[in-house]
Amino acid sequence: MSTAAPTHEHGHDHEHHGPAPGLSRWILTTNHKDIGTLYLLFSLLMFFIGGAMALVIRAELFQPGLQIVDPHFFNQMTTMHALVMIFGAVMPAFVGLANWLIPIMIGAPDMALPRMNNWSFWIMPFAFTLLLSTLFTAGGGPAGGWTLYPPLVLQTGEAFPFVILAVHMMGASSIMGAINIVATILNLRAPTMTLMKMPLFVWTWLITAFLLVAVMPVLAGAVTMLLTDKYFGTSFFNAAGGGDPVMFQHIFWFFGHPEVYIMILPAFGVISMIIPTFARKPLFGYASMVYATASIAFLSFIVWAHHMFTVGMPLAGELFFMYATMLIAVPTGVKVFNWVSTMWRGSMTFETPMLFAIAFVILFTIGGFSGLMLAIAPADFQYHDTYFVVAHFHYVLVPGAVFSIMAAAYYWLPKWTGHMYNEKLGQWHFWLSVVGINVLFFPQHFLGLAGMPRRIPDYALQFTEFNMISTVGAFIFGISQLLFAYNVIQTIRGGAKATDQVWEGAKGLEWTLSSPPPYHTFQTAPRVD
Amino acid sequence: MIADMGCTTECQYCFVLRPNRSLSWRQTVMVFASFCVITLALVLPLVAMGFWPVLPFAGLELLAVGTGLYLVACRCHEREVICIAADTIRIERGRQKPEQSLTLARAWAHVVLKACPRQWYPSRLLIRVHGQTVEVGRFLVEEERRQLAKDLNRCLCINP
Repeated sequence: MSTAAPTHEHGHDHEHHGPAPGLSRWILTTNHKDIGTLYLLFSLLMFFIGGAMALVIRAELFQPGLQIVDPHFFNQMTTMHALVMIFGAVMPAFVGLANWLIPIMIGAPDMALPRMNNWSFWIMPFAFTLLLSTLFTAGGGPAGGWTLYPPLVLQTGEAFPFVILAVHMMGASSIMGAINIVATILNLRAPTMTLMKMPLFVWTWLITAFLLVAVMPVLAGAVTMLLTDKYFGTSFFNAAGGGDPVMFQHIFWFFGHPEVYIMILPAFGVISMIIPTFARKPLFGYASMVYATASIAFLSFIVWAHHMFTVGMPLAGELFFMYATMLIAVPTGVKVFNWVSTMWRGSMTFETPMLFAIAFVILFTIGGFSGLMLAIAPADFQYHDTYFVVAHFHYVLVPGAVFSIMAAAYYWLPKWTGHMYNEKLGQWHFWLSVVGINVLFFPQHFLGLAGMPRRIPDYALQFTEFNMISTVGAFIFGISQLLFAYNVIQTIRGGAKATDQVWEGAKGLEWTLSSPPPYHTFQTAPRVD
Repeated sequence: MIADMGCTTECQYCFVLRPNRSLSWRQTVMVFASFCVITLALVLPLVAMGFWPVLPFAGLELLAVGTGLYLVACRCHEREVICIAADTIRIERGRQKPEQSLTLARAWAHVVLKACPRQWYPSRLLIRVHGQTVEVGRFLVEEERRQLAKDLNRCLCINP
């Protein structure tokens, strides 16, 4: 036992304990709210960069022939668009929401590992600068698709090792974020906040964090093996050396399918928070929502091969993956049923967050149904690698994940900033977005069913009309996002003062705090009923 | 939270302070074990098939998970015991057992609750004796810290 060292107090120490002034506040911060804000703003920036890439793709596809970009650059755009949107926009947005909301939802003063939290954010800008800078290297950026299938991806030029390093950095950031979230939720809950009293957003993130920790080493190992195959003479995926390129697909999708759920489970949590507020009813079937989330997470590990039915699997394998995939519809159906039941006979009002939440329920369900069509192995042989698949996963990820993030932004923005956003502008943003994405993605179902392959810069004349419609939708959706950015910036800068409760039907610890919440929350121990 | 308060044979007043924690040490071990089981169940079949580069990443990651959970668990198991006897104030800090101890003269001690002027950070509860200052209750919430300051002041004002 040693002797405790007394504190050497200086007269000025406390005066300097506030956040550092200027830029250093944001670089050095360990405050969960600051880091949450950084994540959210970073993801908004990436959303616009990835969106600009999508507009390049859609502009090229407006009519057949090559008009704007050469095919190699087109392929770089499809690859980068996916990497930026998945790892740069959607995942950081959910981590940002987790940072802002989880501590204040469970009554914790901050995240459990605040310094690691700072580090996990600040890796991201470097990772994406590295990734985006590969577009300027000799041979251009990665152009083999975000799935990085060998041997195609091994044809990447000088960019290849930088892309792999960037993927490693993104993975490290995600893992650190996940560790922090698990440690916070499990260790720092307020007294009486039992697991089954936690808000569903917290539950969905806890399960997502487990998924992240489970699958990230698989991605890291897979991309490292690509690197050693290219530069160190190994043959993990090189058929000439006794390796198997199809095994990369198995390994990649073993990571990739849970990754899809990593992007959608927190969205389920957000929607489960918003719908009860604006329906003014408690969530229907809370416990079943928790179990459904856990079931979806479990099933996500045993369905990976539905992404690769056409590689030539044994019939038994196809049957197993087909039925396992269909099984996911059961817990997902439970969730949709519970959301609809929550709204049933509720005193509903339709503010912008609720509009986005309702659009989520309807449009995500469309994406889910087209997923069921793709799950049918014999049918998938027709749909595989067509625009039907593009339409399916965009219906899941745009009106699914992205709409839920927008709903969350409108829902919690008054709490974060202390100002109400411009509701009229929010409604304009919603209607333009919802019209835009349906005009953008719905015709792609027909294109896919008619046989238009994905990831091509040119196409047969028969596909022209639907492609033109799709491109018009893309520009409506893309430009309407400027309204969102404008609305967010205006709300940060000022506006009508938000009350602490903000929404009449809102329940939970975060609404007991002032708007905006103090820099350090829970000066008194919160009570959970 | 202030877990215990009362008299012992040695102390007239005794305050046991500990941070809020919602996971016991045993549960922490179980959570880590579940991470290990899930991750290794996914990774070992790949290793068996020859894709061994997955293993070091899984190992590194589990090391990070374990370290993170361990650090948080350690911080959550901290204890501070403030023992006010007739002539002295003894402050002990540690986890399972006292690891640091400091004894101050009671007669000269006074309690200061110092608020951050801009309210960015929580207040600090200090016990000062002859220019020596010891901070206590850093992990308490503001309300508890204020209450502890009041209680300490009250105890120190009462004649031994």
